Amino acid sequence: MISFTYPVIALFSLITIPALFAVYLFRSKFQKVYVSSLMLWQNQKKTSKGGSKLRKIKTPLIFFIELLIFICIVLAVSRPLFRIRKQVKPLIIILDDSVSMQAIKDNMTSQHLAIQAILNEIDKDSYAARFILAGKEPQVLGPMTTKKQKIKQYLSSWKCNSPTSNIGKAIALAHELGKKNELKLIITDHLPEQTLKNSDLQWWAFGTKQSNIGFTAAKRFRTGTKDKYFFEISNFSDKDINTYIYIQKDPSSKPQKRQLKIKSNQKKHLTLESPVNQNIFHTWLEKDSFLVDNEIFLVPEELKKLCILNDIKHPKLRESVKRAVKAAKSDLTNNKDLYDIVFTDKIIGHTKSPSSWVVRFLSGNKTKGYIGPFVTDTSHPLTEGLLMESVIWGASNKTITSGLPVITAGNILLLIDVHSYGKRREFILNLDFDKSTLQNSINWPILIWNMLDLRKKHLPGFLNNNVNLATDVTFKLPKSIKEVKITEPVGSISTIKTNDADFNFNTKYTGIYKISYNDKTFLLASNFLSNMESDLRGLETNRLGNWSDAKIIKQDYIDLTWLFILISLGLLSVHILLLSSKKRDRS
Amino acid sequence: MDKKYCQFLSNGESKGARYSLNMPQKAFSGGIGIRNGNHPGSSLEFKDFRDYQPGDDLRQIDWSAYARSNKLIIKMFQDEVSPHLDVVIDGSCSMSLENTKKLECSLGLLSLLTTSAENAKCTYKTWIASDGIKPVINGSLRQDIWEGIDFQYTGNPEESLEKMPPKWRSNGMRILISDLLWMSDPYQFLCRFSENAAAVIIIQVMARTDIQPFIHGNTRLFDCEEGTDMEIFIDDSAKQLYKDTLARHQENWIYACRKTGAIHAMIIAEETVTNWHLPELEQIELLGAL
Repeated sequence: MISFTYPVIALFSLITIPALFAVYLFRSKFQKVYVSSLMLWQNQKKTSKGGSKLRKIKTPLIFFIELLIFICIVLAVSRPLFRIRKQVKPLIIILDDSVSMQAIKDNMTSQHLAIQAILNEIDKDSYAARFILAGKEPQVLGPMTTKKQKIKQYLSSWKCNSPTSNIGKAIALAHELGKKNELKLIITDHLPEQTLKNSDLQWWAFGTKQSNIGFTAAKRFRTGTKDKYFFEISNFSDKDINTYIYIQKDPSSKPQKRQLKIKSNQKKHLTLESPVNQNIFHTWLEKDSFLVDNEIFLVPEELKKLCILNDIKHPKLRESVKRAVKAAKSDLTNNKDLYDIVFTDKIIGHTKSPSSWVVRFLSGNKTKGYIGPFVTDTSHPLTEGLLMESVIWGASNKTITSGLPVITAGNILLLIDVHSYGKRREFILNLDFDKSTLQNSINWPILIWNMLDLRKKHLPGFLNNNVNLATDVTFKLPKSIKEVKITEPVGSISTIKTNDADFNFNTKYTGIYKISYNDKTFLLASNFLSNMESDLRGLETNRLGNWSDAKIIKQDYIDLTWLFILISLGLLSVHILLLSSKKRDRS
Repeated sequence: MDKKYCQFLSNGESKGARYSLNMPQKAFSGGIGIRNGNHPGSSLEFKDFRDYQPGDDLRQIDWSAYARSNKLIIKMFQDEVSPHLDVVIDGSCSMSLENTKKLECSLGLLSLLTTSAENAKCTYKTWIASDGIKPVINGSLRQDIWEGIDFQYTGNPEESLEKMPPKWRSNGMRILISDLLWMSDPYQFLCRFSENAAAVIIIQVMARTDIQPFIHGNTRLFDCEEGTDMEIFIDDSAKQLYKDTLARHQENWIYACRKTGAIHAMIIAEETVTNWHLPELEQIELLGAL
């Protein structure tokens, strides 16, 4: 049975059909014209249209084709829908995407149990299903479907690798999408915090209460000539556990097996150390029902060293900058070609290097000492830790128009952040050193340290090399790198076009990520560390809620607009063919 | 006569005042004329001396001058001529086609030509091709007293000529004003029309719609002469076909004119009546400014 989405439009559009009639009649009407002689018209072919009254009524084929085209367009505009099947129930399935769904019981994860249950339910009744992944943020997997194949496809993209699941947000999204006209099914491994009130909601939990032991914190850092490794292993059970930990400091070496005893509901901290090295540190526990927190990879943090040039002519300022740089544990360089940051008091210059940053100290002739109040942009990283009270800042009152003001004294700009083209950046300090006390205050080394730290963060590589699962990671690229290769822990390799821009990605898997370009390789370790998800004692199996009261049904339709458009296009082609053949005949 | 016709004739008369009809040399005939000819003649009025050239009339040699100078010298006297113009207007219905300026143009042109003939000291007679080529009553006199002009004839000038051949003056100039829209052999007609004529001018007066039909779509065409009709669909290709047929028809007439020594000129009625500039007739040197 066909129904129309916009029947009113269809009715209005039908006005065009009498209009076509009118146009056609008007076009077919013969106009009387007196001519000097018919002899010049004798060569013309007489028209087959019109003539006597009887012949006028005879309407040509072209008219019927035009009429059909009009009707098809009108039908297409009114969006005809064809009901193809019996009534289906619209259903939104919210899938808990947290890692705890991977917990195993009797060789089956909660996720597998849930998939089976969903497919059984789909088989039992006719549903039009839509899926929402409840991870850190809810995510809709695709449009509503009645096809089991498509449902399976959606379920295959349910990976359960989010460190947390926000089911509340996912339900809110489902309500927003369904407008209370759709049934909701929550698939998770725990029970709801409150009793279910809505009759359109069901809560299916597939978790199993069980004890677990796993890593809940890990860190690798360098102190002098030593690399140190810190771990926290938690026992989420009501009894003491006696197990083994395996430690492999070097992939080529044999793993070291150690006995591990942790009391019930206790955490154990381990600290290891080794000489400074670039190896991947790997440690793991004996297998249990929850595998993902049993293994840790730690890669060495990249040592980012800045090449700094102090090109300041003012002797006191030069010395002051030198001391502040030294205090920040950074070294100066004399290489004028390769530098990351340059301190200068030149008005122009030092912009040859495509990625170098410039800290420019400018002071005009007419300078004054400003004692405040100073306005600082606290969101800017350069102002972190600055306390501008009791500081005298000597500055000229000349106007600097470009850049983002970071520190001002009234309308006098004291520190400006100028983003240049590409990866270049410039900080302008409107500073008369001789009239300032800034260099004598604690703010001076802080400011210089902030500048160097910010520059370090923009050096190529990762900000942190050891991150948690499902973290958004930014990889800073040097200029002129057009593409990088990413190797994921599961072994898949992909090439990303970067076009000089830094790129971001999400750590979907635990393990080692490798980013490489030219001949350089950067490592990133992704680990699952979560106190909440590793604690499996709150998991339950149950089915709550009932849809029997819900009278939500949906009829499944096929949109036939395309069919009518297709027919009208076909008729249009025939119409064009007929017209062109008639024209040929006439000529 | 119809007031409208009088008005059109009066218009032509006023416009013709600025023109003089250029007569062909052959049209000047007779020993006694009313105006001076361009050639040496036989009047008593002395014109000039010139050297004898073979072919000159030996009677005109000035023997006294020969005796004095031993050179044959011709004594030229002014020739006196009496040129005559016969103007025939097509009296068929198509010349008064409605929604066109053909009638106004044709009558105006008739009047203009006779006025310019008068300016050229030329006698004239007007004729109408209707049920025979009939002289217009008082057609040699002033236009305002002409009688017997109407455009009701359903035939064409050729039939008129067949029915009642006129007595045109020999060696006179003959002008036909018509739209030439009839089906026949133009050569046959022109042979008869130009018999004993010193010069023949065929002026084809066409309405703009005769040249470029403005109609489009389904059309019932009525022949204003024969009363027959025809239903056709007119589009660009039909119009093009019409134009091609018209061009062929005109080519036939021009070819026939060339064969018989007649001169063909076409004027568009609507363009002519706006300012009565007649470049087409000036171009064939029929009219000259006074």
